[in-house]
Amino acid sequence: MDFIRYLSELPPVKLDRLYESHFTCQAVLRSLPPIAKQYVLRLLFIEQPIAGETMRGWAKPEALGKHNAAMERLDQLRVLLETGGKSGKKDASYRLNPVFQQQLQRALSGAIGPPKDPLPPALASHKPSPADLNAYALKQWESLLLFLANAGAPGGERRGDQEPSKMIKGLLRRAGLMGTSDEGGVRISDEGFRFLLMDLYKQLWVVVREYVAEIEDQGLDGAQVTCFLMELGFYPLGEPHGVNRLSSLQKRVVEDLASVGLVYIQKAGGQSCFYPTRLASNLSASLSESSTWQPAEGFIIVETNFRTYGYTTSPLQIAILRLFTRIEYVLPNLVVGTITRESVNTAFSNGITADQIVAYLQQHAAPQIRQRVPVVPETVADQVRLWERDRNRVQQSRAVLYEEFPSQERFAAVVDYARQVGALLWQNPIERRFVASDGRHDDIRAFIRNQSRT
Amino acid sequence: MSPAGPHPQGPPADALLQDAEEDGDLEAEEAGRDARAWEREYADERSWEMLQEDDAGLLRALDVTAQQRERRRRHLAAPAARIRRGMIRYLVLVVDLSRAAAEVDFHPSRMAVVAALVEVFIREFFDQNPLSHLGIIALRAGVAQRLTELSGSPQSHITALKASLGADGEASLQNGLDLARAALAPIPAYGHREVVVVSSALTTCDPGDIHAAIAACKKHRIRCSVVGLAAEVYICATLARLTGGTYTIATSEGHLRDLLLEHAPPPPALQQDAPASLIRMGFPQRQPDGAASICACHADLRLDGAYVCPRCKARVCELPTECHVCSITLMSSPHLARSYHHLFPVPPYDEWQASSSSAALPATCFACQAGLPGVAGGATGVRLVCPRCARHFCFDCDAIVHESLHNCPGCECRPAAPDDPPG
Amino acid sequence: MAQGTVPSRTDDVSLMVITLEINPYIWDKHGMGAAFSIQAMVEQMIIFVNSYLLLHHQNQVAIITAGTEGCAYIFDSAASKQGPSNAQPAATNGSANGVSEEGERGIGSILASRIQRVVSEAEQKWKDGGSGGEPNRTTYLSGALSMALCYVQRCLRGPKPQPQPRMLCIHGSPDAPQQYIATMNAMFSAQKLQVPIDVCMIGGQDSAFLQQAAHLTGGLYQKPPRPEALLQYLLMVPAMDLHSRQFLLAPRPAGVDFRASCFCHKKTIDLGFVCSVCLSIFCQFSRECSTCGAVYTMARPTPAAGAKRKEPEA
Repeated sequence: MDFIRYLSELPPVKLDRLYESHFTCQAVLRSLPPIAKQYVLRLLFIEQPIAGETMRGWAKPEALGKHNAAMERLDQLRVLLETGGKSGKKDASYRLNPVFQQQLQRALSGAIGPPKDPLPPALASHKPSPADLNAYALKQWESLLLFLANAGAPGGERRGDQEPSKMIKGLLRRAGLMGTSDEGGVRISDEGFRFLLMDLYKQLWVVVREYVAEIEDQGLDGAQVTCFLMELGFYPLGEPHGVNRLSSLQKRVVEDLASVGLVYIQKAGGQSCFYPTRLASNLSASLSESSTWQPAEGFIIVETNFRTYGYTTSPLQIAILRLFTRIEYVLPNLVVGTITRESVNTAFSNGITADQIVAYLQQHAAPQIRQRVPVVPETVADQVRLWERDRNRVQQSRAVLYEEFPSQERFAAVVDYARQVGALLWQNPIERRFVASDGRHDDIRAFIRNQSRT
Repeated sequence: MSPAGPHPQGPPADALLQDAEEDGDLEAEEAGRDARAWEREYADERSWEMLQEDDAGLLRALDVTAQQRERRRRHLAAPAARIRRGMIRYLVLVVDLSRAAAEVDFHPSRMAVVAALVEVFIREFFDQNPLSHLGIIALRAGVAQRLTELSGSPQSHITALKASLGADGEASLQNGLDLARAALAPIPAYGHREVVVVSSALTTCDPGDIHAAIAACKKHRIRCSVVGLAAEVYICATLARLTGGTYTIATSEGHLRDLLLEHAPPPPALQQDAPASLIRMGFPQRQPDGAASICACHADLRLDGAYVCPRCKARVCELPTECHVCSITLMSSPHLARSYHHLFPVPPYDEWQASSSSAALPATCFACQAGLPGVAGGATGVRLVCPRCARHFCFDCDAIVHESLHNCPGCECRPAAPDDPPG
Repeated sequence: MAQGTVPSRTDDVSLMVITLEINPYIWDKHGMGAAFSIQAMVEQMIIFVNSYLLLHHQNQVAIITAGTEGCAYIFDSAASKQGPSNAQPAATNGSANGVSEEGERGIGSILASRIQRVVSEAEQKWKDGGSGGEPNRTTYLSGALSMALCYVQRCLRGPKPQPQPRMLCIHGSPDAPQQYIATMNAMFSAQKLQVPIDVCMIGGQDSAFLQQAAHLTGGLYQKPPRPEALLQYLLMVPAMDLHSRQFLLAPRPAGVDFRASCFCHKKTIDLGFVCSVCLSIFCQFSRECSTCGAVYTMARPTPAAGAKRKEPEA
């Protein structure tokens, strides 16, 4: 989602420049909703504009809502351009963005594959296996998240052994995930808590978006960086790529990404090359519920008696579980906890929502219970949502209490006026007092003064 | 009695203790039996002995060869030769809903289990015998009731059975047989008549001579089979033996399901059971959607596409059915084709022996490209070879080919041999 | 016969198994060589497969060629780098271009070279005129369908989450009556598995078998009037995944021909006789069944309409 929002916020000129890279076009195609993808495929080899009426006829009558949503998304991303059309939407005809179309055609005819680089002999002997790459990506990414989680732990102790680089800290602060605490150190913010429970795809895109924004703030070319990132997403896994053919900007990007875990740099004898990891492939993954690669297998089992069993040794996952469960036992490979009202309330006060907790439990469910329907027992999910609603029982709004009216008619007149302006919150005619919202206090006061004059 | 004289408090303590002991024994015995039931699974089968460790002390993946061979044995037991079968069957299902059906030795009760399994059976029956008809009779309170007439649509039978579940009274086998015989009387001579009795009662309460009823069934060439849930009953065994059917008794729910489903494929048939004849049939074409016409089965104006009888041009909504105007049987070729695999079964595959030939072995299954055992680093299990086309297949494809696909992919990819089925 | 329905899912990951017909005879006979050569078809197929794989990073595809010499797998996007001995299909999670065994060649070039090899072998055999006797002109469609179904079953046994399986048949030659039973068996198996079979006819004629297959399994049948524009037809109709089919219109199926063909003359009939023993279909009455040898005891060819024979009490 973030990718789309990011792209749609770009000005049209920049977007067109992005589309000059066929990798971006492919990534954009993948991230469209299914119906929009079909529409793009149908228009891919057609040069003439197609009438909007024709396109509407492609969808079944009861699916008009989906059709409109798809058209809107295509329009937002400037994939579909309106041509001609005199009087508004009725006669509009559409065609694909020519740059987009051309690049996509080139990509699909198989004429371009990902670039190949011969491996320098010095490095060939140390080629990392896919398992090594995965482990590296996992370690880097988790250290970033662990830093964030520990910053939220009470007292802000640094339990991790590795602090992320300054650049990453800057990114986190920029994204609003961290703020300064009262003592002057850094502390995780509400947004940061929500970030920890998001799924990997969204997390990755938050970091990447901030990174691109930072690059742009430094006056460099953000579009080139975005194109390069898209390109990374399409590289086959575990294949080395030489650094020499990259521009200086791209080299810098590669180094920065290595600290996050998206690529792995190998240096030997003056030569260096980089390997994209599985995290990088997520950059160009399509959107669907559980399709992105998780760095680790699911590990949580939630029982109907609110007990959670997490089969994990990773300090990050334990820290995340600590956010909303009460940990009871920590064994060498197992963490046992209970979801209680207090623990969940602590999470709510940190800004996490019930839906995020349930979604996190679902995504990280252990493989043995993934087949279970529903993955998280309904009792637990419902109870967590009920606890959240408990907190919303009281709604507050700033208001002013009006009392001691001399007569019933006066009271009734003011109440009517308050009701007309929509500020009336509560009234008690017997005691002649009412409450109106603070925003309209001046109007009501003016009305009362006018009334007392007449 | 205690020697100190009668106790004023009530029954002597000895007797109480004895009762308590007996009750205690009974409970203890029952508890022991329950405990042993689940323990038996581990004690008898010793599943832990099948685990093996490799050099590093880690568990190796289970060798599934033995399990696969065991499962294949069941398939090989079924006859594969091309024998004459009764393809057009008229089957009456007699369901025992007497008091004995309310027993709870099958959970939740025998009746509920039978109802669920009969539904599965009905669907499987119509899936494998699309030209056949089925009717249901219930035995309840000493009489036999006709729940559904002989017809070819599965849904009507299932709903009728579900609507009338209630156990009561005695089962009367003779009444059931007489009613079944009456229901099977009007069918044409080329149809095979069958009765399958699902019996839970150990007794039968008959108004006349049951042997006469059995003799009448034999004379009318009705093949009666019985599936029992309780114990073996002599009269059921006699019935099955005299009419050429089978008598089987289920020991558990899974076993009952297997026994019932054994009656779904067409049984072998003899010439004198049903003389061969040529049946006149129509093969209607489906009209495209949008043609408005009045259909004969619902007496209503319909707009969607339907079939037109080739002889009298009346409209029918679904196949297979009988034309409402001229009574010709209307069929579509896929329906007939559904039954062809009974007549032309795929020959069972042979297990590949390591010693046969030293030619290079294919590393993947011909049908699904999965890795085959016998190659270095391959999976464990059996490797199977088709006797006709000599292609290699994996265990899972063998199960698929013989149970649901009924085509050998290898034989389909070569020119027709003389012993192949006709087109 | 009710039209098959397909189960709906909320995402659009699919597994597509394509059976591609490579039969030089049809190109020769139908004179399509000028406008639409095998080369052109191969190129368009490559673009179609590439675009299908691009739609979702977890889409999988397998291509089986059905020819006059047999059927074979020529492409499997789930095959891992270690080679064919690895039984489990690894979930593709990474580059859109399939993993190749010779470095980083895009799938386009692999697919092209493999199809080319199959085509040239077939053409060579066709030119040689076969090894004595009539060269085989029929395509082994039933074999390809059976292999495709076994492959689908294998993937359904694999690790979850599983894609939705479907099949696409690109076919040109007319129906082969001797493959009728096998094709029907494959089709029933597909129906039971809820795998829709889409059909795209390129020969300019309809195929009754495949029409029935598409109708019963809930797939889409189309016969493009201009086969040289095959790609556009493919992108419009079979590219739709099962999720999108709920929302997008598909070509309206024409009336499906459910008529049978008689065993004696192989012509389609709509009124005929069926042997009660072996269910063979005949167009005219005869004393004996030619398939099973059963002798018919009935003398009358047609029973009176509406009358049922009562069993004589003897």
